[in-house]
Amino acid sequence: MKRLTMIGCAFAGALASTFTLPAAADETNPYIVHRQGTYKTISGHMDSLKAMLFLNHEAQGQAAYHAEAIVEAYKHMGNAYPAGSDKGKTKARAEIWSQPEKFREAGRNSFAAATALAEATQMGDQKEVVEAFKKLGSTCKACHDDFRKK
Amino acid sequence: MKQTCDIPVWDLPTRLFHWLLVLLVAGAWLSYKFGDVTMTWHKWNGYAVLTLLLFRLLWGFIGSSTARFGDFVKGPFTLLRYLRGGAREPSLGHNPAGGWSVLAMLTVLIVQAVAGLFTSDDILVSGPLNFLVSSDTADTLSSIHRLGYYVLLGLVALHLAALVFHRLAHGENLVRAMITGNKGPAHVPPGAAAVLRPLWLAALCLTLAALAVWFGINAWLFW
Repeated sequence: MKRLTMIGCAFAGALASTFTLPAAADETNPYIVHRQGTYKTISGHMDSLKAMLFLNHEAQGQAAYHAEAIVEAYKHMGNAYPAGSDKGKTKARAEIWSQPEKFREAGRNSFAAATALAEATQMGDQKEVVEAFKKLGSTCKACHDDFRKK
Repeated sequence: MKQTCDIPVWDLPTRLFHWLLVLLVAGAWLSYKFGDVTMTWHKWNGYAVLTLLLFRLLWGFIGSSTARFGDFVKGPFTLLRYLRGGAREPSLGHNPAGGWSVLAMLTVLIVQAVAGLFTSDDILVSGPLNFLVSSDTADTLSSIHRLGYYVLLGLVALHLAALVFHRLAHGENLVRAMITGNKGPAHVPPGAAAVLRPLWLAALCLTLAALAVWFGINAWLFW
């Protein structure tokens, strides 16, 4: 009887451990998934701009499209960091909620840099566009340094 | 009476490796902190570090006697005895504690450089092997690369403290030894001297290392 009990316990334990599988599966918090999709979108546009500005892609006239798309992406972030959304498959740091003013300022800096980049692409001065692009990248990094887990 | 430091301990390849590494580790941080948004300098810095590390691994097996891992990597009992100050016999090259420090630093540096190959900053920059792994794996390796900086900083601080300690407690100037390659007779076993390997062998190891790194980072060409 003792052996059967042992087998039963082992089986129950194995079954119970499968309940941890959802933890290893997809993220279900819509705010986390949504904001990460937006960031990936922005990153994609940055890559295309990099091709135009540093790798001599032929369609440099389309830089404005990508820059404006980045601005639009920021505008459609919505409520990206509700309370509790630091739990899950996310690199959001607690400082986002403990230093909300500083976090909002980092966001404002990025939005301002994206807007400046969009304006620069309208003006057509290649050097200005490159500078604005680098500035935008540096605002991404600045926010990451303070508010994203390493 | 001051005895002349003329016992050869560190060969030229080992010394060059050490000081180039110092420059490149500093350069890695500087290029990250002050470099441009595409991190081109940082990446090339990393490739150079990786080349040096591969060279050191090769040299550690076929290089001059004091550069070989078999020469300075000692077992735990020997290490404990050395740390307790018991058998105070001097070592020609690295003492047992120094030997394990070398291994620790080489390990952390290799992990750091290799992880960097897969790292992405999620903005614009990713390493040349980032495409090979899933985004989850790349995330983990990126975290290792970013946190590895702090581990390395700690080891470097420990290294510097050990150098100061040796100067004060044993009267040994290890920094000068790593520059000139020589130690005084008071700090080495009597009659000992390093068995040096030829420079062309070191050059061959460096070339092999560079080729290996080149193939590694251009893996996408052959994929």
